[in-house]
Amino acid sequence: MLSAVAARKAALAAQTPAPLESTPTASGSSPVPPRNGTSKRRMSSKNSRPEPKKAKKSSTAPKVTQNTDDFKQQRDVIMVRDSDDGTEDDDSEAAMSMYEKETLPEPEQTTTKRAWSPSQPVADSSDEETPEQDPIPIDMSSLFPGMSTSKSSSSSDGPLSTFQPIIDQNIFSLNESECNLLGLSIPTTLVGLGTDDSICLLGTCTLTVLQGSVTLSGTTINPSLTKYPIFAPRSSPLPILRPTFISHPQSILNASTLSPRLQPILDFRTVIVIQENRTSVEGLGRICRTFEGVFEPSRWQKSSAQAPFSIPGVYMITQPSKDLHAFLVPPTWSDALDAISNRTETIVAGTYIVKGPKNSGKSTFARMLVNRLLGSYRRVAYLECDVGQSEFTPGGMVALNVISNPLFGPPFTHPTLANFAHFIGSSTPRSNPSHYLDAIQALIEVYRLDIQTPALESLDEVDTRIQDRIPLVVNTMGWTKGLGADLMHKIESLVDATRVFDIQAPVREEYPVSAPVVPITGTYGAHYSHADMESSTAAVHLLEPITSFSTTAGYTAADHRSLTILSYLHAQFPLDAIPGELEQITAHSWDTSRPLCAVPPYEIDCSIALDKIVLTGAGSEDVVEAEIAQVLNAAIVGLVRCEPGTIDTQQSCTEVGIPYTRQHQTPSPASSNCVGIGLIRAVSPPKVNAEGRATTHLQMLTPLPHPLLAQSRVLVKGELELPVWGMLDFRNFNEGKGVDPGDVAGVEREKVPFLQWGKAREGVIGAERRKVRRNLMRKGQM
Amino acid sequence: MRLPRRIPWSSLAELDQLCISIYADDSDVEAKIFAINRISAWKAITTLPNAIESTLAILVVIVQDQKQLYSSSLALRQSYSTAIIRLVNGLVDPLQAGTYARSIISIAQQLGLPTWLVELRHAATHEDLPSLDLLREASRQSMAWLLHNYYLPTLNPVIAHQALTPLRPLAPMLKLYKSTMKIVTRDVSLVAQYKPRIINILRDIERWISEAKVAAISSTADLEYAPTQSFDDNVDGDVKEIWALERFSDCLMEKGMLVPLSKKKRQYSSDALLPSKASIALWEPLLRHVHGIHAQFPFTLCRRLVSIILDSITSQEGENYSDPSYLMYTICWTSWAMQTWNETSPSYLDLRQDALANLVKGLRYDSATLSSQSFPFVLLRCLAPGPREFETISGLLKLQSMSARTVWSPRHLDVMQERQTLLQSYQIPTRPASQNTVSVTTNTSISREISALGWRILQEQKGWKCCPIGVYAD
Repeated sequence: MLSAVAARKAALAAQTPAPLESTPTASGSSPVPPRNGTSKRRMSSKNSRPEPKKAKKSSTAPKVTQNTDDFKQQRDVIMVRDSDDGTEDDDSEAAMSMYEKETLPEPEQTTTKRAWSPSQPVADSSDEETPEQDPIPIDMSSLFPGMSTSKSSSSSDGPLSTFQPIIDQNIFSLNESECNLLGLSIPTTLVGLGTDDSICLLGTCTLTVLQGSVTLSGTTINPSLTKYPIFAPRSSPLPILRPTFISHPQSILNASTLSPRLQPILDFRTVIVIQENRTSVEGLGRICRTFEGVFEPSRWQKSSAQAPFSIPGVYMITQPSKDLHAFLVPPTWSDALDAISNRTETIVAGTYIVKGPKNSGKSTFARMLVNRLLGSYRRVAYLECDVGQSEFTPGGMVALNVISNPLFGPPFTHPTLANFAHFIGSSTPRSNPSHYLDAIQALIEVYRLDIQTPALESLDEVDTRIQDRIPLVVNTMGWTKGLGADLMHKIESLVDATRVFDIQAPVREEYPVSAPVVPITGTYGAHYSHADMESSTAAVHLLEPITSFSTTAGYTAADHRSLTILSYLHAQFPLDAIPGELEQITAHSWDTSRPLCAVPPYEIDCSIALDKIVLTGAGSEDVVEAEIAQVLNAAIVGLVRCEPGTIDTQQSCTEVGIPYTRQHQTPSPASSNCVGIGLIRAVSPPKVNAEGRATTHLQMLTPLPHPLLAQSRVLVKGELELPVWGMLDFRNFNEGKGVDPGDVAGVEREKVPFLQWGKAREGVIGAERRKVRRNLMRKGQM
Repeated sequence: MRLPRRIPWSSLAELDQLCISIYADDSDVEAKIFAINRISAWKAITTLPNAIESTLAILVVIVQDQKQLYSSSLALRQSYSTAIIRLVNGLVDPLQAGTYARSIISIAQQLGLPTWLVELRHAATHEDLPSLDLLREASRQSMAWLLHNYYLPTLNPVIAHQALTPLRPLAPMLKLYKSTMKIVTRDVSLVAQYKPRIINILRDIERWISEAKVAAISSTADLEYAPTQSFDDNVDGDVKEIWALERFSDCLMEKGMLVPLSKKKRQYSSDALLPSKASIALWEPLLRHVHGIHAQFPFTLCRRLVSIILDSITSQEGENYSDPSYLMYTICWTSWAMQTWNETSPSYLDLRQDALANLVKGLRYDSATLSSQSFPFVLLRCLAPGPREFETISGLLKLQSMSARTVWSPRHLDVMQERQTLLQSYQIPTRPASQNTVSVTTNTSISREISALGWRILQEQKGWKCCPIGVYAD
């Protein structure tokens, strides 16, 4: 359904460019050209119509002369063929006059304004005088709001892929011996690209560049045996792979390692290898069915998708279609990216901040920026301030990641353990802004102290990129109004960036851009003043927003949040790894063979393994100790590592056996670190242990490596919730669309606890959750 | 598919317990404090239904008042006022379904909420804070209202609720619209003058649709069409909207609306099968306007149009069905809808396909007995994308009905087998299913041990059983 705001916009759009008289395309009524022969008849038929019985008629009579004058001044009167006879007019006329009393202004005012009244005898001169005049159609659309359901013009400029696959000419499927010669594994497809070829990918695969170089998602890939995993689901804009113009001197290809059949490949300037990438990431679409089949062309896209590589799971898209968009880099973006790669000579690694309103492409740009920087630096640090849609971690935390591999895919395809992070517990910093700022400040300090100029034991001699300095990319949240704007200013002053990338929103300001800041210490605006901003030496790049793709493709921010959490919970991290200060630990595969309810959990003895359980979020202060078990059941919690001595462990388990005290402060970001999140899938009733004390066991699901689990002795529960998809059992979903999923883990669906199927029972009022509506219009707003 | 909703209680018994502790004994403060603690905990789990959240707010003030915990009566009055304001807003807001704000009092009347609570809300928000006496009475009435309209119907679904106010008739509004548009289309110079009135009528119609949406709460059972594509929480709203649009389409299809009353005015252009230009001029603005606000409208309308044609086969005696020009005009509007809306429909739901599917589905086995001049076939011809497709479809329809008469014989099994293999060979190459399980084995074999104090890994071999999230299995 069109939202009311969209309808209002459309109405505006329909009104402004279409003044009543000038639009030639009639969407309203289609007039009949006035012909001499017919006009007489029409006039007579009009005159012969029964006079409506209106009370007002008498009051309009004295104004007749003025009315006829007005009428003469009018440019035209358009008559639509009068096919009506009076049969059904009587009652409607009566209704009309009733209506008129209610809605039209006072009769006196009406008469003065009236140009022509249907009840007046028509002065039928104008029609006769100007018989040749072109009819001017009525554009009714200016009258009615929301009428123009104009299609958004799809970017239908040419094909997405220009590559023409011809087997054994520019595409070679390698057999086993050929693979061995090249040092590749089977199945492998070799692709030779001409200068003008481009490939728009859909699906998953790995990419290796053997000769020449290609650009993809903002970065250039040079020949090496490195396999880059590529994730291109339909839910995000698809990447386009293009050869670069600068020919790279090194080539890994060597005529001696190629069988005679493959020799022609050497003629191509660019040679890439596409291989299968088995990650089970597609299974996430079966779990969160909003994203079902996003790694395949959908039913109505089969025609524009090809699978020329004979590699399962990867397709080439030739033509754009309604909900299949390629990612085209806006010119201002590529200019900005080019600007940074020209200035790698600065002594201290740069800090880059990306800001802009929501859905403007901040994370996409930040990802491209990281990729671009990875061309010159061995590692790039990434500070995520957007707790709603984070790049590397599930939402609800502020995280600092050190990245060493380029990113080719949307956030849910690269869940990564944070090197440093703090748990916020909500998808917005709204309920605890000061904690949010403290967390960011703590992470920036960590970056300055430990990461910016890392203490490396030895440098990698082969790698020519800069290793001893690490630049920082800061992605910010899209909340740029009100308190969000204040928070943004504070973040900017904390980061003190060398370059600011400001994505400009299409101007539709409802708030004043920045209210004068009242310098009261202790408020969020305190650290920001105009003087500070003006003295900043940062270079500012103004960028254009990308059209919000995901919303047009039918995916909301909430959908992406759900998917990211589920992707994280199903991800497979190495179980013995610890992300130190500089290591990037990204999951490369997912266990999507079973739903969360079928995964054996960890069992935690609260009295031994945990020091404290903390609740955060508005209203959480009111949860009493006796109710904590209920609250923790099926909750998403952050696992937090605190420095010894910073958490009061004296007060141990209460009679419920859970170390929870009401109104406890969240761990300070200065002395704690969030290692990741987990799902408490069940809480046991309190048991009395050997020492005669009550204890409770928690059953937890988390993908985190074991050493991290051992360190985190504090659990924080915020406002994050497990997406409902995560509570269902996809094994019992029926395959057909539109059929409700079945039971969960052998329990009949009506009896599954904590879930309510269907709408509220008949006659129940108030069962809905509160809806926030910002879409209502008053009568005057049209 | 419709997702379930997360609720904080594991079964209705828990909600029942809460209800008893709130309402059983008015003077039992301890029971009320238990209820407050319970709801506060639930609130930390997930977003609560409005009614429960309001219960919490009012209950907290009542307990404060009974235990005389407040220091100034202003604090108490403020707490009461906020609770009442939020109760009324919370109940009314979900029903502000249309584009334009409806008056709160009219929604409250539809809900059966005491209207003086709405006045109190206004006073508490914009005027002097109401007196303590008044607020106490308001809280008592609100709690009673919540009991009768939320807790009791939720817990005992058998209790019949008082019917919502019936919908007011739409026909007068449509007639007024028609007569106004007649004037305007006859004489364009009147557009400016009649603009306010047309806008008012359109708003009135829009208001009627919102009201119908509210009325749909109790009558969604007889819904003909539910969208299958939406996964989100808003399905509920969609269903109500479709119900409302169906009622709207019904009114449109009454004689004298889209189809003119007098038969001689039902002149359609026979080659294009479109309604007369006058008809289009009259109704197009309204139809487009409704579509602009309700994206589902074309589908609902076309389904209604198709079903009218289909009904003409089965029930011959109905008033509409002895009226061939009515049916022809209906077909004309369908073809107009295709021309107008097929482009704008979302890609996953093709309007033409949708209508075609409905038509063919509705024909069932009747198709063989129908002549190709019958109305369903005329409609089919106009729905089919081209003459060749029409031949194919109508051929299939005839064929299907003939084969339906054939007698079952064992060789049909072979035919089915053959078809199945044929169908399977059409599937585009996707990954073999076995590959999905590849990565599973990796995790289960490694590190079944964890060396963290107080942690252990449960295993299915050692007695842990898979069970829904939130259920503790030892």
